[in-house]
Amino acid sequence: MKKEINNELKNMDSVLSKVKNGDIYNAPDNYFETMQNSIFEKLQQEKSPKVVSLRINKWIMSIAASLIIVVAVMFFIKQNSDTKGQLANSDIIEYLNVYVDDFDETDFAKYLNEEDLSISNETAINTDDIENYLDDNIDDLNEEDLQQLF
Amino acid sequence: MKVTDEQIIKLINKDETMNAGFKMLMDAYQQRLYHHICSMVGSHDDTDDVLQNTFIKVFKNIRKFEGRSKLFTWLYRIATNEANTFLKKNIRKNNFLESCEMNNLTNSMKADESSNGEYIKEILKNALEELPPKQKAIFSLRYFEEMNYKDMSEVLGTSVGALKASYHHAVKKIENYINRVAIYQ
Repeated sequence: MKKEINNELKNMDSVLSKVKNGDIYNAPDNYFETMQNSIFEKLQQEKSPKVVSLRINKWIMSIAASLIIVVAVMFFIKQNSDTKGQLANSDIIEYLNVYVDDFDETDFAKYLNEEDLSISNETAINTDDIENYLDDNIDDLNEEDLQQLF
Repeated sequence: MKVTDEQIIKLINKDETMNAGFKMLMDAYQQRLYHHICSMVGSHDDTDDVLQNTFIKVFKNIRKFEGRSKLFTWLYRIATNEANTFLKKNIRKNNFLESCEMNNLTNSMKADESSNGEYIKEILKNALEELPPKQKAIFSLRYFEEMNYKDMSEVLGTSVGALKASYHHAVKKIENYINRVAIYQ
């Protein structure tokens, strides 16, 4: 034991000052040789090109997977929005069919634009049609309405 | 001829001699580090794990070692930290593991039962197990490794004053244990 350390123990009046402080633990035979081999194997495994290429593959796979996810998400969003539009229209039509009696002409007229209201030459109502309509519905018309027409 | 730390580091810093240099480093320090770690973790299997982790960490970081501290204090610091990390993770699970083999003490005990010194050594190991991890490290570095307080301060990152106080405390605890055991013999 170093003198300095022994003196320190003596100053502490410790029984340890009387003990030889040699190693109290001993490794099993050939342990260090096995340990060194094991360490070099572990280090080699970490350094091996296979691991490096796996890392590269991992990167490529990560990028590819990200791209696939992005494309899939974009496709899904587009598809979903289209489907949403179609569903919305069909839902509206179905709703109107069921509840058509709850609406009057002015409600529908609000959603018509000028183009919808314009009458093309092909669809123009001719005088014969008007006369036929009046003949059919003459009982529903009062005098004031008829005076407005003429 | 004994290889110096500087020579070992030079070898490690060259790619073509790196493994040879690292082997020399292990040859030079494995026994001391094994003993230090064993005094902290108590079993051979755990010491093996911690020592291997220590050397792997050393290998990965040795080129970053700037020589501001001594190589051996740097090695002891890594070993102590690894042992502490291990102890925190594995609080008292190692009761079932084989204890570190005592160095011929059993044989010497049989040869000379009356030898007070050998008897104390025999129970010293058990006494050490009663110390908290940091005190174990301090006692091991001072008593077994015969390190000076300045180097211990580098290893443990603790002031010299605190180390002296802690070592004194550890010695007293070990003595108390020895006295306690002696009463029942």
